[in-house]
Amino acid sequence: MTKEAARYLGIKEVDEITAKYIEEAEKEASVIVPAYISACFTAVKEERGIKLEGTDIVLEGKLAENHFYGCKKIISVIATLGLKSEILLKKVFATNAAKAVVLDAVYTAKIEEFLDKTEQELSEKYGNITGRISCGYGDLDISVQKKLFDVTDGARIGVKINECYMLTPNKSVIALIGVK
Amino acid sequence: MKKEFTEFIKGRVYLDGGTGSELVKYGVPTLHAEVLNIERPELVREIHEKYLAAGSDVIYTNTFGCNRRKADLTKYTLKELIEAGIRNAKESAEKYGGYVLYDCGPTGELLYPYGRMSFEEAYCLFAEQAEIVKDSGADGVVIETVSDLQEMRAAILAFKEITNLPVICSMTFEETGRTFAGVSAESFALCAQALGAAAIGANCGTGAAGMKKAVDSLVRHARVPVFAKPNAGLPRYENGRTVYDVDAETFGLQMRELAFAGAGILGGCCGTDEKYIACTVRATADIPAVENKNYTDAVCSYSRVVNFGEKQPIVIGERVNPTNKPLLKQAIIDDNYDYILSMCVEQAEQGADLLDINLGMTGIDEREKLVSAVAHIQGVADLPLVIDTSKKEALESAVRVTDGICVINSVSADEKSAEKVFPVAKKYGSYIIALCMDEKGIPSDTEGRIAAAKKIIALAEKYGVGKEKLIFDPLTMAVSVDVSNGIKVLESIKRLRSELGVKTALGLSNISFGLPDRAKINAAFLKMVTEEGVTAVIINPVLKEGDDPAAVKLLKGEDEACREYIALNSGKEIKRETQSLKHDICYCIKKGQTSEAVRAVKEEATEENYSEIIESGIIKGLNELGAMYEKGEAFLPQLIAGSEAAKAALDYIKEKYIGEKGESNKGTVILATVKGDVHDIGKNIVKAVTANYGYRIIDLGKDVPPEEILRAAEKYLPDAVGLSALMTTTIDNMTDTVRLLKERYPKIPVIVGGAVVTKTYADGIGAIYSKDAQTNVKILEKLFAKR
Repeated sequence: MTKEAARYLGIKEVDEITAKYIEEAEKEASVIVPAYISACFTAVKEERGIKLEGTDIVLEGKLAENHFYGCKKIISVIATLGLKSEILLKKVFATNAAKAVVLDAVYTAKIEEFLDKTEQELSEKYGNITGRISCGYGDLDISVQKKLFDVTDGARIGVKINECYMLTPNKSVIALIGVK
Repeated sequence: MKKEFTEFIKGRVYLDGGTGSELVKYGVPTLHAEVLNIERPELVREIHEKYLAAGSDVIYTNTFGCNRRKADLTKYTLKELIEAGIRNAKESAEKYGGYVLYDCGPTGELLYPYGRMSFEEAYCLFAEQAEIVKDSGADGVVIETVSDLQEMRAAILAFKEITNLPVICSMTFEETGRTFAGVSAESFALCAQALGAAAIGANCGTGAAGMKKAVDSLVRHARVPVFAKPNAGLPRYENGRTVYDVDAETFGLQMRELAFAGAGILGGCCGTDEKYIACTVRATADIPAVENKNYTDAVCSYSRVVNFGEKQPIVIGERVNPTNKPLLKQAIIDDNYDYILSMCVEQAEQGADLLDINLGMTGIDEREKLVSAVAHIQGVADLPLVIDTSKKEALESAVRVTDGICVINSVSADEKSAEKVFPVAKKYGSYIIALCMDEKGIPSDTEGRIAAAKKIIALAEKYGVGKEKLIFDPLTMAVSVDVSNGIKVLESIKRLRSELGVKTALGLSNISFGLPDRAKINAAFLKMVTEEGVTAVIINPVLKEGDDPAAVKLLKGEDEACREYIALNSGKEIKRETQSLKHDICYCIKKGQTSEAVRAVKEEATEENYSEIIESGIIKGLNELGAMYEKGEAFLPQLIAGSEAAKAALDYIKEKYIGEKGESNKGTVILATVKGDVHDIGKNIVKAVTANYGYRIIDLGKDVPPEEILRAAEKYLPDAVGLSALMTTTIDNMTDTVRLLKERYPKIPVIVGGAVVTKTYADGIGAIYSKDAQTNVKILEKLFAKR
């Protein structure tokens, strides 16, 4: 994870201070337990785009069309590092801002790693799956994020979404994965 | 004749199962399920009656989402929705002789520090419901599925203050026994009972098995009935349908476990229907309900419980007190709560168990400041607080928003003081530090102090506050004034403990007043009072026990006029030889070595040279580091580490030499992330780097509405405003904010930055674009050089 964290910080060669901070931040972050919730929908091809059956969500645009080409189902996943991650970051910021910045990058690495693991789990359950994409990527409309949040019931894992489609805790992700 | 609800729930009692998940089965739209109270009342009653027939004694009204904000999204008023909900439930319950609880869910918004909602706003949303519920004929109120203790406190207070109905409440716990927001079941149990909850429980979550830990913990701390209302296991979503993985039979057996664990009141939440309730009744009816009588002698924050008697002495961190602290004073004036928070987090790391918060200074609205400080500190530095103020309004307001059970500092043996403190302590379940003095002052001998303590116990009793809530401070006087002052304190602690059987606390640093090397005396005294059994000490938590022989002799009253101690300890301040330290300061800053930078400044700085040290040591280091960062030779963590080192060195100089002379800063800068934007790391980096160049930073936080930024501009008349936005969805709010600012204050430069902000965009709205924290400093330096 160290390498990824350094990458998120834009550091090519890790210096002594950063290495120390990364080590400390990883230790701090070890108490954070990520969680996810998922919902699986039958994908129905419509004129406008791909509809998630049983909802009024239609994924429009080129990205969705290409990414989910030939997919029978689409899984919506919400993953989060939880509110504890927010508090810990604030706490570290209060006494050591440099370490906090590193911790933030470690968090990013951690949630990505967790999503990789979640994908693994889902592929064991559903078979051949695509990689993940999120709203706001390419031409996939960010406003779909709110509807996805509701049908996936992100509140159940303590995530909230605001009117600008931003998630709290900050380190939360809504991802879409196709099942071939 | 039906029993009173509070009496009834002392037996084995059954609640209903899920309401929302049942409505879903009927295929009706459930986004605003409360609307069905009016549009499909027969359906709502059918669900109620299925439960009553299956054995439920108590049903919840279909009002989980009934608050004004949510009601506004429907075509009905809050009153219509609530009254219809209660009417339906009552009609059903009357057929079976059952009880009706008005069901109150969470607001759906995040309270500070996770979101922007204040305690008072949350309180108002609950109070509006309480006003409607109070005469509606419900048998009581249940507050459920809450994750944040502060939100739960607001709800309990609203219903207790406005209605006379019994209130029971449950939070949603994860398998760890904590909620999403980190609230421990213990803290919830202590707080809810202190505020008068008639029963406490757990609901929703991951099912009955996952609830065991929370239920155990609730029972351990309960003197009211405990209830459990779990989901039918973990919900899964398959093609828009929710599936639960625990069937009714298994659920019943799992509930049997919770009944054995001490939950007297049982029911089901999401995914449970009348079969689950029937199975629960069958599996548990033979287990008698046990009366809980567990009193826990403890204070708590939302996540941490400090038990009296578990640790001795309990360390109360004393540093948040503006007396002789110019930087803290300035921070209080500037609403710089991050500065106060950093003091708190440091003390927590140094071993404090509780944090004393005293913002007493002239020229401020202490109530407003104290309430804000408590709100900022408690979520992050999660230790229980000691609210330290002499102002009545400030005390009541601060204790009200304290997310836990706090200690009040302080009361003394006079009627006026008692009148001010005890009603607040009684209402919120607070502990109180009681000073052994009366209106005439501090008694000169131990006898007088014991007499004052007895008087306080009697006064407390009048207000219904038991002596277990009192922590007596016998009051430390300097040994330099009277060598017997140390012994008097030790004697008082002994007698308070043995004769009155009460807790004791001591602010002990006063003992060394007027003497050299005070830490030595304080350390020795700490050891002596600890051995004497003092319950708590109010100290700077870096102080550890010591046993310097001369100090011990002095404290035992065996060193007349402190002669021996003074002879041994005066004039021993050694100035270490140093060379080219300015270079060292510069080097330490570039390397981000905070403690070394402070040490170097401590050794080098004098009244004469401090400004030169700032310029050619600290600022030079920062500039060189900034240049390295720009060239890609240093990275963000190093840049910030250097800034932090510079800040620590500067703070030392400010505190020691500049002090309250109030040497003017280079300019005032307001920082905020715009409305809707909840990511603040970028803004925080800018803050960390900028503050060390001598600017006064007013940080408004994240997700700040344009009007609030304008109000801050009116209040602080800043020299620049810095705004951050991260997403395309929030950039419009940046545009609005800049326009609002420019209309009113066309001359104040606005600097903008963040992931989606570009130079073209900034130019277009008349703002200055800054690509990162270092650029921001350069822009500011340029702007202010012109002035």
